Amino acid sequence: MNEPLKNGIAGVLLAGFGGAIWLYTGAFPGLDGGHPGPALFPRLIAGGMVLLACVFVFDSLRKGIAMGRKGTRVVDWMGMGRWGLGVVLVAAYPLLQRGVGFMPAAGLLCFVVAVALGARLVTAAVTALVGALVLYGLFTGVLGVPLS
Amino acid sequence: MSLLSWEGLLALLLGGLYGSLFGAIPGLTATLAVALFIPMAFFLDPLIALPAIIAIASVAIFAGDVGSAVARIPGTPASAAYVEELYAVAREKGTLYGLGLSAMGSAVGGLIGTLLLIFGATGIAALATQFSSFEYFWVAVLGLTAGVFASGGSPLKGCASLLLGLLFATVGIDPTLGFPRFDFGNPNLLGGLNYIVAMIGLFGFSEVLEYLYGGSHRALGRVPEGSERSLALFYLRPVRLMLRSRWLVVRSSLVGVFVGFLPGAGADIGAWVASSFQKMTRGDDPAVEQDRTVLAGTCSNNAAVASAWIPALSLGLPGDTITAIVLGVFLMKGITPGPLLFEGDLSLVWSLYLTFLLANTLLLPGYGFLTARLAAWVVRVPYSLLLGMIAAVCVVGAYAINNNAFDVWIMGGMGVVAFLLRRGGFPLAQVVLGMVLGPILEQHFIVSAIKSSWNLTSFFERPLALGLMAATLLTLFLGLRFSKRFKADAPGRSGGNVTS
Repeated sequence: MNEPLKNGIAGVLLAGFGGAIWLYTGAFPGLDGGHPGPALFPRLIAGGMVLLACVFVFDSLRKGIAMGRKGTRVVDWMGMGRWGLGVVLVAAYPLLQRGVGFMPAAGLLCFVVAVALGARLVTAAVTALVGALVLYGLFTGVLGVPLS
Repeated sequence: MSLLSWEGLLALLLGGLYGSLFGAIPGLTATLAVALFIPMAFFLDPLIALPAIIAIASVAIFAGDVGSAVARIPGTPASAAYVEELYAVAREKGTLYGLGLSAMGSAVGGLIGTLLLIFGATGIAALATQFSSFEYFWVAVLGLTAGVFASGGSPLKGCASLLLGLLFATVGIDPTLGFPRFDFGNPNLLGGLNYIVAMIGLFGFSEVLEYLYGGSHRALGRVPEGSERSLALFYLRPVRLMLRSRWLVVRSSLVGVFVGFLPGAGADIGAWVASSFQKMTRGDDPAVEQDRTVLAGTCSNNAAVASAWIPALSLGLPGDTITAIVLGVFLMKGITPGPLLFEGDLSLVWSLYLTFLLANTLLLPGYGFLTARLAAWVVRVPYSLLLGMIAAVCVVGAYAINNNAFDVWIMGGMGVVAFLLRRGGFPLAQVVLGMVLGPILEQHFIVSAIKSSWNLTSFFERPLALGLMAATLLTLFLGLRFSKRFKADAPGRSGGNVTS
């Protein structure tokens, strides 16, 4: 993806985000005497985001017209799949830990990420097992940080 | 019992080891290490407990750089100021050299901070009492302004990241009316977003996601360890660079001391300001510019560790969270901190000074070398296995902070945000800075505004506030002036190693 297109997308997202914050904070209460209250800082931030968004979009249009479609690239669907797997694993981790316990859950996460990145099954399994044991021992035994 | 007894020295050694373990693991902070030590401190003599706490804090703050060097995961918000540079130095010149730079810089910064603690504690503390909410507001603005230019890339993108961090900081109960903001009815969000959890996601989990997306094409290059002996890499080369950059070392340490002693500001702003100034005033030797930025940050944050004790000892005011816990230990032991401490129990005061000196001259270089050797071994592990372990450490580290599964989701969400920011070339460290300084900025702004009945000209009336405002404007001027130069010198650095 070329730089102007990236900046353009970032600009549109920032503007949308800033606008949403502005609207959402409209329901926040004010201080006595009509002074701004909890909405003040979020709205200042939202204003800053919209301003920056304008700069990004303007810059993107200016440079994008000059560059045309140069630099556009196809999405790597395999990579997106591995990426999605990583996100799903972390999202499911708390549920997994509740179901099977700390060590199997942490070990499974380590194993799947290692295999997805090309490690051999046996090596990944040994690493996951040893890693989970070391982490558990270190946190609960040596450092006294509970993990349950 | 004294510090120089075998029990005292053992407490120092074990405290340093304990601190190095905590600091090196993402999610475990120096504050948590000290907090977990309190039950033991209760049963120890103060002449043993307090030095052990100093050893824990000094070594843990340095060890926060181990994650930066190995996996680009800073252990502390202060380390985030130079995480990209330290990671790059470790990849290009070897982990031992990168961590040597960090340990030696920390040791010298810590020594300078200690000397000022010994000789200027009461004088500097008197200056701290002149700071009101107006000055704290300007200190936060100065830190944020320096942070915009700290990425070395586009200031606009730095600004966007900073705004995102400031927005994250507004989640939870607001400081004016206690009104819950952006909690969406979820009680887990009422306390706000923990910046340590955010840091693990932003730097650690996003790295895992980057590699998962890039697959084997993104395999890590072999880290060079050079032909020199490890002792030379760890000690001699960094010391040689420090001698060549002695003014940078002194300047950065002084920044650390003078920002670090302000209650609530601490090492974080010091490290950001020092490393930003180094980037703005970079010299003509690009081969060592990143090394110098690391040096500036590490000198500053360890100088601040010592200087945070200045208001704690002289005024009984905590300079940071660690000294807040220490004040609790003082009271637990029946010691009243403040001016009377210097007139009464001098043996305790000198024991603390001696501990700082020992921690910076012996513990940091010693434990630093051991942890660097371990880190140099870790980076030789095949990247697929290393990233599997990093994924597990991120999840466990995020969970361990509050024993709350919700933090794991926050960490994962931050990883996804960071992945998207990297694709767009937006810097990550500024998000952390926004999260750290946002509450300070908002709280002191609101307090000042209410104090002055919303007469905003009062922000420009006090001499110290005006001085800090002038420093902010100078930073802005220098930053804008040099930003074009950064862009030409370091293309693509702003967003980390993005492949597309």
